[in-house]
Amino acid sequence: MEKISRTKERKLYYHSLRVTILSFVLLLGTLNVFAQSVSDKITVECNNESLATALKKIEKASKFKVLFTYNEVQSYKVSVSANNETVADVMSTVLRRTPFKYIVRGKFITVSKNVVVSKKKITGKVVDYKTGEPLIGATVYDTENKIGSSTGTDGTFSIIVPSNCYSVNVSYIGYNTRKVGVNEEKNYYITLSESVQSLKDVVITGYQSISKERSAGSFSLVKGSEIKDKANLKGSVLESLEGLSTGFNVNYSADADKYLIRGITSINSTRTPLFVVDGVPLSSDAIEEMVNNNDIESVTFLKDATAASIWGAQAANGVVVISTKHGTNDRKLKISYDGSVTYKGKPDYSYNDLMSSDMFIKNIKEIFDPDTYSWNSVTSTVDGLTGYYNPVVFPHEQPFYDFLNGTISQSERDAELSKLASQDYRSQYEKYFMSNAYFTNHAVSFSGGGNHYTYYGSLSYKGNKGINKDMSNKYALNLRQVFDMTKWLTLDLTFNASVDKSHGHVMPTMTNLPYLQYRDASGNLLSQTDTKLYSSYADNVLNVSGINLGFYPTQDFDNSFVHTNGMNLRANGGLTIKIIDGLKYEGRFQYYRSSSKTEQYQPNDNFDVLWERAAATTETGTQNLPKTGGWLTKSDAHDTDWTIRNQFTFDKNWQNSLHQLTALAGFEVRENRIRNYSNFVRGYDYQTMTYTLYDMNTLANTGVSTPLIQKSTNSSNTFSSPYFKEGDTRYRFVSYYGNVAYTYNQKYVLNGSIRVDQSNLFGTSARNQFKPIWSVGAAWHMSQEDFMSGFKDLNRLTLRLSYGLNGNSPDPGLGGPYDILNAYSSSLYPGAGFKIITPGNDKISWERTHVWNFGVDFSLFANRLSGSFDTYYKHTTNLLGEVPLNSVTGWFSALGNLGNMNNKGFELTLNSRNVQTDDFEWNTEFTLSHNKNKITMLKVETAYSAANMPYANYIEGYAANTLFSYRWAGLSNNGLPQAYNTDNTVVTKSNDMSDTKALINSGSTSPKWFGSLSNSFRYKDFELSFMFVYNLGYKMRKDLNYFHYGRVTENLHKDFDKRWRTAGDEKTTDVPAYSSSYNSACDYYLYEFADINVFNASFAKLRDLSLIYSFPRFVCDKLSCDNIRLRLSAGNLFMIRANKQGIDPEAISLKSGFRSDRYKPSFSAGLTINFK
Amino acid sequence: MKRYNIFNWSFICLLLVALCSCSDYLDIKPRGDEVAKKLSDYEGLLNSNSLMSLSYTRSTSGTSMTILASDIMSQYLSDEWITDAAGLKQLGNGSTMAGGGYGAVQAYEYNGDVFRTSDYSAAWGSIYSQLYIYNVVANGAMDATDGTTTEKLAVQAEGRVMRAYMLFLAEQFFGQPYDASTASTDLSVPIVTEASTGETSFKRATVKELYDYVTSEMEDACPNLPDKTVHRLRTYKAAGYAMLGKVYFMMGDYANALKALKIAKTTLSTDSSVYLYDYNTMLKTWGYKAATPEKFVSNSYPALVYKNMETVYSKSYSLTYICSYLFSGSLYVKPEFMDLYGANDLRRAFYVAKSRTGVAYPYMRPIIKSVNLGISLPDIYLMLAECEARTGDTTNAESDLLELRKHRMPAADAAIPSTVSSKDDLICFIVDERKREFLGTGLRWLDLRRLWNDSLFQTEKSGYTHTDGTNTWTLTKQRLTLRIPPIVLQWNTSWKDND
Repeated sequence: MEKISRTKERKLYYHSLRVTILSFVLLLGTLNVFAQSVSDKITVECNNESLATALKKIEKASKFKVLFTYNEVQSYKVSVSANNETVADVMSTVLRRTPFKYIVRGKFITVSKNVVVSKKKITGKVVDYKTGEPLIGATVYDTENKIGSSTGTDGTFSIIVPSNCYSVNVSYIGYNTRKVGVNEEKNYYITLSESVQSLKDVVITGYQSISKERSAGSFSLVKGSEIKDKANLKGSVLESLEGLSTGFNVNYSADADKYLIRGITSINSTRTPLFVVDGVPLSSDAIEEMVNNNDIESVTFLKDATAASIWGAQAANGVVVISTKHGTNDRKLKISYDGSVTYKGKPDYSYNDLMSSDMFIKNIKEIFDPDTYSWNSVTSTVDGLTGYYNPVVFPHEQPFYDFLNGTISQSERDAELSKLASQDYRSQYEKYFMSNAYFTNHAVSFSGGGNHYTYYGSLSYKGNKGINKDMSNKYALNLRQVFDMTKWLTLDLTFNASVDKSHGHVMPTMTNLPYLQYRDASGNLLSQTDTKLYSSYADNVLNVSGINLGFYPTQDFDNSFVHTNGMNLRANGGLTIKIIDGLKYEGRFQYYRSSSKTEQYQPNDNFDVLWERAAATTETGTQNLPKTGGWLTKSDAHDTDWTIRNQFTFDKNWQNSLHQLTALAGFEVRENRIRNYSNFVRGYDYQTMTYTLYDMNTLANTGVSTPLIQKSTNSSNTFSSPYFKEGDTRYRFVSYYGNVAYTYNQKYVLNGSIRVDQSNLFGTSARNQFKPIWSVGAAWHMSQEDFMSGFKDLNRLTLRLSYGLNGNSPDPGLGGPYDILNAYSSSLYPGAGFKIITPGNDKISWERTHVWNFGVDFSLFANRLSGSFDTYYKHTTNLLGEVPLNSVTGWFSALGNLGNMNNKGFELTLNSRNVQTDDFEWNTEFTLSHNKNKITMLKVETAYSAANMPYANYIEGYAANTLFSYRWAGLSNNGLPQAYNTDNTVVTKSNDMSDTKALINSGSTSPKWFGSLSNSFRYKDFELSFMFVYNLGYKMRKDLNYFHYGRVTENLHKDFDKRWRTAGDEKTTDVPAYSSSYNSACDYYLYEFADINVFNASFAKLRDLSLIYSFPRFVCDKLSCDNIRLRLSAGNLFMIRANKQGIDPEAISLKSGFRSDRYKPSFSAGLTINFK
Repeated sequence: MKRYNIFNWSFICLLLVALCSCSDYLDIKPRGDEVAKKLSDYEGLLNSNSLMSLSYTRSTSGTSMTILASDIMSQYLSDEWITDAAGLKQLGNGSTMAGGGYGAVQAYEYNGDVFRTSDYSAAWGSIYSQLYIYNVVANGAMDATDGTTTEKLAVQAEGRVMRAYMLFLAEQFFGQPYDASTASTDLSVPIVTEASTGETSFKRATVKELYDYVTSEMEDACPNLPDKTVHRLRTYKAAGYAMLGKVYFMMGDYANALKALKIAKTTLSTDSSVYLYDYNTMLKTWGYKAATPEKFVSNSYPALVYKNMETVYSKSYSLTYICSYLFSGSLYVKPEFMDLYGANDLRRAFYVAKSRTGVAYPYMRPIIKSVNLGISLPDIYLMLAECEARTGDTTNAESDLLELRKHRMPAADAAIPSTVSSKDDLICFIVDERKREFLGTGLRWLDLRRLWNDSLFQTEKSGYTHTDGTNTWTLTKQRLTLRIPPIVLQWNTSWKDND
């Protein structure tokens, strides 16, 4: 009874699962019919019976319809006793002694007479679709007769098949299997494309490579070939990883964290993932410098505790592991070339929403106020100008004052103003200060190997033209070699070197007043001194000191320069010794060094130099700074990083793979040292290399009294630019780690890992540092179970569960049981001075992130559809930060543990091979990530008030980066901003609000949903692919007019023109009134942080589109190439966005609403040649 | 065979790394950072920019600092100021960080709520954060690993004297003025004698407890102070005793004040680095021209307190927003205060009624940018004179007063007027001299507190007013203390705030 009901239950379960899968299939619109299979098991019993009877019995036992001619088979007697054997076996047994054969077609088994068939010879070559390289050891077999062969070292094959063979199956590990029609007897050229799916079977953690089946962790893997073209278009390796893995988010917005894995897990410590190249951490900058996008073999994203905890205290934000290419054994020298040119252009000026000269002058006319800013006050004090220390009268004010002073008539004034209104600064600015950005990339790579030696190398050039007439050139060399010294000893050695040189100019400090001109119609320089200093002062400077304060920005720009020379070196060597069966020792050493030298020079006639010289001149004309020569700054930066690692790995199978064990234990020592120096000299002549001495001590301490121009609010100008600066930071780490993966019967997987990191946390006792990072995980390959064998179309189903702890440690010298003193030199005191930079705190502890992950991997319909789903929960405790203290202690705050937060979400990846025929292929990949963040506890120094809440990034009870806004109540009838208080009364000041409940939560600036949709099509020699990326469910502030009072010193936002002017305007506008001086009755923040100015930042962009043409065979052959490919691609061709304000959410600071540079679509052309 | 060789090699590799990973490897100190161990470390803590002024800064990332507040509110409470609506508006344009702003206007209008919920107080913040450093020195110097006992005691004494003086300054802003009859119940500020961030409960000491602690700590430590100083930013015997004298002076204990001040004066008599400037000769040197007094705004007058030869010990605050000639004026000096100067009093030279380009405005002192709350020589002379006058020694009082006056005006004008005939007249004249000497600095605030109950100065009180031309605000007894900033109160909810 019980048994039956359980069977029923199971059937019900299968049924429902089947329904689920079916509906899933329908949902995806992929056609697939459930077919019978000859591997179904049946039980048939017949003893010396007629063949016809036997076949009928088989028909009955199986679900096949067996077709035969009764008369033909009647005379044959057969015996079979099959107990739970496959249909195929049974059929073979039955027909063994008969002249019949059978063919399976769908639901039918056709039994027919064996005829002697003629044979044909099929020959051909199997190559990689993209590179044209021959594939060695690919399997080719006749689909009908199961006759097959494999390809040789040159990729060729030859098989003799019955003439009824119409197609062959071609397969190769890591490539999509293809069925190729072979009607004719000829030489076939067969291309296979790499399977995105198959290579994902190996995960690389940086410490080991392990087959995916044996890990319970959450990984995603991206192949180098997917990155290469994208990186050429973007000019960045890491940016091009966008959209290729779930959970990994690339944010371009100005104030966002650029790279994030699974949300924000720290407030004050590092939030970026750990980047690792060939097993050793490198900074994201170093990766862009060192790694050529052609050389990347694969990138693995380690997302959960089990995946990442091997990286210990650095892994709380996830890990990105980059592996570079290596050579292949038994391969002759292969050379390939890859080059591209990408055009980016200039930023789109109109995106900034600034006024035209015309609109600007119109508004100046409206707001000019000689009562508040009298001629007397503006020419004698800095009235109304913040950041200025000397009187200034701007060109757009001069005509008004001239008219009031009676020196010009009204018509002359208007004529001057309309002249300004007709001048456009931008076209001149773009001409004299800007250039179109583009980058070029050329790389030649070579690889090969013999029996005991493989190599891969590349030489590359990168040229990068910037938008400010700056250019950088980089040359890089990469060589990776593996030596199999003996059967048990392998050495590998990788060497990278790159040299880069860049040059640019020093941008003069200019205002962007829209009417300014740099040169007149005939190209003569125009001075902009008026924007810096009132002319009578400038004249006085000239008369007294002979210093001509002419400000010619284009000349200053052209004559100044910034040169940078950089050099990066990396040597990475490894030693592998097989000690006994399964046990290996691995030693690894990496040394990385980058150094850059920067030289910046501003010559004698540079305005900044002249200005400083005037500020150091007394009103009687005594010059205290050198009268000739310019400013030279030389700075050096060195980053040295070395790692030594020793580890033992054990990898063994027992009882025919019933037990599989992989274990790893090791330790590692690492040092990272960052040093920099800078030197500064005044009065330097670059050509003659001479400089003039002056009294630096007096200038720094006493300063210059009664100077010609003011440098600050102080009554004497002091000059304390540092002559020599040095910085030196050293981080040292010692780590011990271990990792075990056990698999039973290829079905059940258990993982565990542990790591202890200790670092030179200055002022911290070692006791506090013993914080093991650990994880455990389990996986179940359900599809391997017998009871799953009924699901023929389910190729793979794996469940994974993991839990663990990751950490994030404070920086050295920040927090510990002792007061940390920082030395500094001050000319005021005798002897060294010390400041207490952190008070003692013996309770400080590391940030700890507990991570749960549950995942499902599946693959359906002969791997046509595959994907994975992960859901995670991360709980971070002991967030590091400035913990508020009772200020009576002498500290308002000190570094400590101040709160907790959590992240939860899920991720879905779907890969589908929609169509696959000889000529046409269509693949789709879809990724979706969801992340929800919440700060569950956070200590703050002062409770937030309604006035300062909008500035807070992290507030207890809300997601990180939540925007808080005032509820806008419109403008008052005199144009002042108003908002609703908690009780819905209208207030005009945030200070009048009763509490923070008056504000509303407008949502977070971190996307809740993000991901990508990629499609690639191949038709014969053409390939088209494109990727959409999307970020959804987040908010941003809009850019606004921030100018509400005071004098105009720069161009204004167009919204200023929409401001409240007279009573009644409040019905049509929300832009507050302008007042000539600060109106203390007015609280502009009510407007700037109003809810009406928060918008949905969601968008989807066509991130890249590329079209690739592979040259036909005969052309390649003629040119002695395996393959030639031409690529045209475009970036950011169009965008769908949720806001109607024309804002590109990737070109704005989401939090403040300030727009940043936005570029039009970029275009790239590339060529790849693989030589024979 | 070979295999064993390799084993050996890998073993050596392992050993090498194991050696590296012993604890020494992790014990490197970041260059530039230190933990206090040696006496020079404690000395170094005293050679600190953080102790220079009453500006409240905080380290942001590592060693860079942000100024949270630098505006000492008492400067706006002093009775010498006058302004108009425009000036008050200009005052409001500032910020607590740089000077002026909301709190400045509230203070000028004698409103109690000078600090809003999120406002930092420069006085509270800087005093208690400096107290932490002085406590580190006072409590740690004797444990230094090197130095003789005398050397250690000297460094310790600096820490002790200064922590006492910092508490005394905090009392001047946030505690009730000293009144012997109520001092044991009047509330002052908490006495903190340990450098600890772990402490969470503090209580406000009574005024008596505070002065008892301050005076006994200073009496105890002053004898150990070094005789000479290396810099005006470091305390030594003369400065220590003068500070002690100032504490007694503020308590109205003129006899004890006199004792301490006399020691200070004796010590100073042999110190050539501290002297009074003779304005009769110096004004010209500083660039003053009688024909163009308004140009005497930026010159070589040593406006920075620690560079001024009259400074004994410098603990300064900034007056930028009242005094800068770069901005339109905010607060001016009342005409009746200007009238206190004799026609030939050279201190007048510092006040102008015109901007440097000739725009007329009320009297302003544009030259000072920092004010000394530490000890200056004129202050010692004036305190001495008053103590002597109050204790009946009018002869010495007059001679001390004369000593200062003759450095400020031609000798012919320096003599004390004959109208000053009685002891009380002399006391009043000395207090007026204090006004003349410290006009336009806000230092008068301390005298307003000290003399509030003094019978000689009750009639003056009607003049303790501020105006903007239309409104008038009067100083009351409650406003002699600032309220505790809410940012501090929220941590110490059990405290009773000032009225």
